[in-house]
Amino acid sequence: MSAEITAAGAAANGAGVIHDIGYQAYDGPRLGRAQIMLALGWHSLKSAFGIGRGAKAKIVPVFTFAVMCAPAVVNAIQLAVTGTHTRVVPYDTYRPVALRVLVLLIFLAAQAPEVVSRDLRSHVLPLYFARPIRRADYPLAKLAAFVAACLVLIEVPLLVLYVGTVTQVRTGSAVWSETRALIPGLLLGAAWAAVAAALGLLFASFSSRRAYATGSVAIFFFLTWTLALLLTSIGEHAFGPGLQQPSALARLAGLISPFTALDGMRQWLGGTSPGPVPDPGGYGALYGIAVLAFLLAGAGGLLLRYRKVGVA
Amino acid sequence: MTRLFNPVVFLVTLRATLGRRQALLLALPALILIGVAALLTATAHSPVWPPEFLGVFGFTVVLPLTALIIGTSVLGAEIDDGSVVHLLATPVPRLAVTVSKFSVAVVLTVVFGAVPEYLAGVIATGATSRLTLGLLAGAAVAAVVYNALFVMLSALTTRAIAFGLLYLLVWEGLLANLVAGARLLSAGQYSLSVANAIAHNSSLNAHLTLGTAAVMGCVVTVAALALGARRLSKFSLKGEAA
Repeated sequence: MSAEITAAGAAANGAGVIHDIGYQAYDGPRLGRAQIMLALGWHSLKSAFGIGRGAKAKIVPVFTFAVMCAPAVVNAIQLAVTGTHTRVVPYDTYRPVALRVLVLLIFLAAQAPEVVSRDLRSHVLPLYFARPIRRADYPLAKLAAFVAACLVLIEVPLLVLYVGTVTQVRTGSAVWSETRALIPGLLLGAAWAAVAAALGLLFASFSSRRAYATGSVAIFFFLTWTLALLLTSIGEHAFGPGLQQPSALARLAGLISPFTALDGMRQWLGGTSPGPVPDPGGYGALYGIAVLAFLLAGAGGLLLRYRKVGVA
Repeated sequence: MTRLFNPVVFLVTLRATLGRRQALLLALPALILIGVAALLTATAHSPVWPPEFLGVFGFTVVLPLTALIIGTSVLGAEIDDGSVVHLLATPVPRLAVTVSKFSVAVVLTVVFGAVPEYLAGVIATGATSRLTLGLLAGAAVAAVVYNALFVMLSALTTRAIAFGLLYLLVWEGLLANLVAGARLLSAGQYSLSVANAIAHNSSLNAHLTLGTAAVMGCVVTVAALALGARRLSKFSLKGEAA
């Protein structure tokens, strides 16, 4: 343990860092941790969208992004053609919700392994850790990059939706009310991106084989999402005293999946659009805790994962 | 028999698939299925949930995902690490390789998917109810058709899991629910329709007659296996997809 600390201290001072890996001599200026993390994050963000790689690597990110934008585009066309000024897609739930979840799921399953599994597979981690970065820097840079990638996927369609609506309204007060409706949508989208990216990377980082990494990410998100919806539906009609009151099962089933937990949190925080889960009512705070727990489990698990990853 | 099936390939594949660490994960969806069924049996007031839960969760999540992992790894894992050349260098016909590996996938999917589905049905409605027997038959059909498709996929592409997943989510999950024509080409509908032919339960959401489902299921299975074997017979080893 003490050897590890001195090694890290030495690394921070620039001593004990292997620069010459027997490949190419270099005696110019050396940049520090911050620049390394920045470069690593920027590279990971690009690889999340297949930029800098072949056309085959771009199929899934481009396809998912286009499908995610579809409701916003449909909204813009509908407003422009019919001349109405009422937005047809809400900012906070971005209906159809199943579309957002499905598209995000495919993106996570296909691209999270791109970000972390390739480094594991090609055994380059020892090279990264021979540089003056600390253990936590690598997963943090990867996480930041993948959260940014999910933000692009989630927030850009919202902005398209906003622009498509605002260009059709006439009065300034209408623009202001659109803007006020957009802000919670953007904040909620950020929560989606953070939770999805953290959990996606955690599951992807367990396997160096891309196939298994894809499989485990998809199984986790798809299984929990289906189970949560199904138990909600069963709880609504097979439990409870009356038809009007959703039973405790219907109110609690959403805690199983990160996506339904996010939706429950939205309703707890005051969201009124109908979502995939019913209003959690008195259980609302549980949904806030669940989202926080998913986020901490994902990010914390990722940090722990890279504390003991093989460097030999 | 040897032109179609090779017991040695069967046993070696069975050992290799079960020997991996990931094999333990296969039991996880099945355990969740049984556990939730037991919980609901203990607490639900209404008897209408078994077909909905076992039909939807079992036939759109547990069975396809189990088949996806198993079906793509029986052949795909060997192609992935290159050791398949040793197998292909033996004088075993490629059709026999394909069918033997497919049989392993079916057996394992029945163990990890269809049997748990049956057990969940037993917990929910009893061992000899029509629903339980229907679910078992439907699950066996699902194991056969899905695995034929996934074995074919892993012979066609090095990214079989990704494409298999895309197929499950987009085709089976979305289109087969929205577009009536897609149901005729949906493995999920074949299995649900076979289950429905025994169980006669509209909550299973089956839309094909038994005859259509059986004929189409056989056609798809045979065609997928033939295509997979054909691809394998002109197999050339490539590195990992860039």
